[in-house]
This record gives sequence, C-alpha cells and structure tokens, in this order.
Amino acid sequence: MRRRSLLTGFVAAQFVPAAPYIVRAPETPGVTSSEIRIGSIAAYSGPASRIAPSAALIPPHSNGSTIRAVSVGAR
Amino acid sequence: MNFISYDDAYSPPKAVEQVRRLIEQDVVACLSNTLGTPSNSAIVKYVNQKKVPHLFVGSGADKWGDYKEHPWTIGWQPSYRTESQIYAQYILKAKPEAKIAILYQNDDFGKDYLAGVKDVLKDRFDKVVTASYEVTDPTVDSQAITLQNSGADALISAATPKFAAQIIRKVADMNWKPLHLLTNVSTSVGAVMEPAGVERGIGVISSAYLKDPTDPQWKSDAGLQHWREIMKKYLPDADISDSFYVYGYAATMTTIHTLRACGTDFSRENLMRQATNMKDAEVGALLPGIRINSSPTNYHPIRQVQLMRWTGKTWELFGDVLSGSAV
Repeated sequence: MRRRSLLTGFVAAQFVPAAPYIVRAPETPGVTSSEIRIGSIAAYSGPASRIAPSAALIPPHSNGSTIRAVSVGAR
Repeated sequence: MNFISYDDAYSPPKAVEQVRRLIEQDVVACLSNTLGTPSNSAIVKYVNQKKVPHLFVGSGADKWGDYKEHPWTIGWQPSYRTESQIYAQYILKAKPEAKIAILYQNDDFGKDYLAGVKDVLKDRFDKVVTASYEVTDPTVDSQAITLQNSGADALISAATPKFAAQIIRKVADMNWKPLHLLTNVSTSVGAVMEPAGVERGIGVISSAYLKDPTDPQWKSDAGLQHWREIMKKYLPDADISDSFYVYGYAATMTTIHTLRACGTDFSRENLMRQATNMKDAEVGALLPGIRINSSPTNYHPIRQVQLMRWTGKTWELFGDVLSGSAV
C-alpha cells in the first residue's frame, strides 16, 4: 500500500509559460525556482480502488519544462 | 510540476494522515482532485485551517460548493444535487402529472438527490414518496415493492452501482414501467447494466458531462485527441474504455487552466483566486456546450449535464445541455 513508484512519462509542463521565472517569492509554499508541488490522495488500494485511474493521469507537456508525477502506492 | 499522490485506501483516517504528510512534510502548494466523499469530508476542516487550496474535489457531494463554510475548498463535477434538479425538471416536462418516487442511499450522497428534487418541486415535494436503504442492506427489493405500491410512475434512483443494478432488475421483474432516472454514478455498463440485465434497463435515463471514450461519435473528436495521445504514449496498457481516465484528465486540465491563469504568482492566495474566477473555460473531454465557470460565490464549476438513455447496448445522449438551479 505504501509502495512508491514513479509514473514515468507524466513529465512536461504545458501550463508553465516561463518555467525559470515562475517563482514570485522564496517563501511561497510549495514553489521553488524549479518546481511546483501539488498533492493528491486517491484509493489506490481497498474496495474503491476501481476509481483510482482518475488520479493517475497527469497530462504530459512538451515545452521542455519539467513535470514530475509521483504516485505512491500506485498499481 | 511535482505531482505527489498518496494512497488513502478510501479510509478517512488514512486520508487525514496522508494529507497532513502532503501539507506538513511535502509542503505542497495546493491539493488537486482529492478523491472520494468520505476522504474529503475527513480532511476539509484541516485543509481550510491550513489555508491550502483544495482544488476541484473528486466528489459530487453538494457541500463542496459551500464557499462560506470552506473557502479554501472548491468542487468540480456537477453535484448530485444539481443532477437531481435536472432530473426533476425533466420529469416535470416529460410527465407533468407524474407521481414521483425516490430510492436513495441513506447518506450524504443519497440525501443530495432529495435536496435537488425539493429545490425544484418546493411545496409539491410532500407528494413525493421516498424509500431509503443502508449500504449494508443486502437488497433493495422491499423498497422497490413499496415504491411501486405507492402508485408512482416516475422513479429517481440515487443508488450506488450494486443497488442500482438491483433496482433496475426488480423494476423490470415487477413489470413496473416508471419513467426511471438513474444517478450518473451508476451508469457503468459492466458494473450496473450488465448485472441488471441489459434488456431490463432499456429506457432508463441518466446523464453525462464527459465524453464517453467508447462512444463512436467521439472516435475522431479533437477534444479527446489529446487524451488519446497521452494514453497511447504513457499508459499504453491501460483500458481506454475506462471512463475514469477521462475524468482524471479533465479534472487535471482544469487544474492546469488554473495554473496558467496564475501567471507568475503561484501563491496559495492566487491559486484560490484563479480557481474561483474561471469564465467559460473549455476542456476537450467535456461534452460540447459544457463550460467551466466559477466565482467567489460559485464553487460548483460544472453545473451542466446532458441526458442519455440506455438502449440495451449503449447510453445514447439526447436533448440539449441542461443546467441545474442556482441554489
């Protein structure tokens, strides 16, 4: 259940218009000069795991910026 | 973007533990499409105390639109209450003199459907006959008999898949022929219609807001093309007939819309500001005509659906895109 796996491939950044310049201020929680962290939870195990695919999909992007999608406990 | 998704096993205590981890250890900027009514109910107070944007909740419970109680939490999909309003409006149009019966699950999910019908019928709701069931009940057969005996000729079934299959089967076996509207939670062919008996469900009406990837009319649809490309490239072994992948895509694209709107300011305050100020945003996976709108006093971004009818083989969309009441 706590298995950690990298969903390789869900990588890119369509939304980031200017990735190197995204940081407004160093103290902005979850934001650094190279990363925005976004969290989620889903039922990857248990009786409702049937609906987990909905949480597994992050659209990839193509402008060279980095989106790293990590899913913990994924199938 | 570093997207971190933890398993909560659909357990509310586990959800709290994992969200605390996301906020306090991982220090995420926001949460996106956290899944399930029980899990979100468990975390909503904590998340709002921490003032972390809780974006596009993966649940149809109406309460995610309560911007006064949970200003840092915003829903996404049409709420069960909105869906129910639309069903009630449809019944009044299609069968104005109908006596309405409602089968509902005795929890937040089922009660949202009662609320939606009340919104539309107002004082006339007193004439509606209702029967509830508990998720631990073995069947809803006795409720079906009670509702049929009431003389009702329109039925709204707010039932999760197992019980939805049962009510469809029982209604047919009793030779009861109400105008039957079914929650869109329970439209799975494999989990509901086939167990019920595909012939028994002919004529049942439900609703949709996303494109069904198995529907031939979307085979060459540009709006789903991006989704298909992603699936082919990154999840080549996944079952692309599984509409939950479309759901995940559409919800994520809504988050991306918000991120784009943020410009260069990704503070939590601005994330919330942009999430609550969407104007006719389009996501290709949504049915044509369905747009995403939010405001500081509208935390229900998708309020439209299109009705569909079970043919015995597939769900067939019909009519215009419909909107719920603004309540």
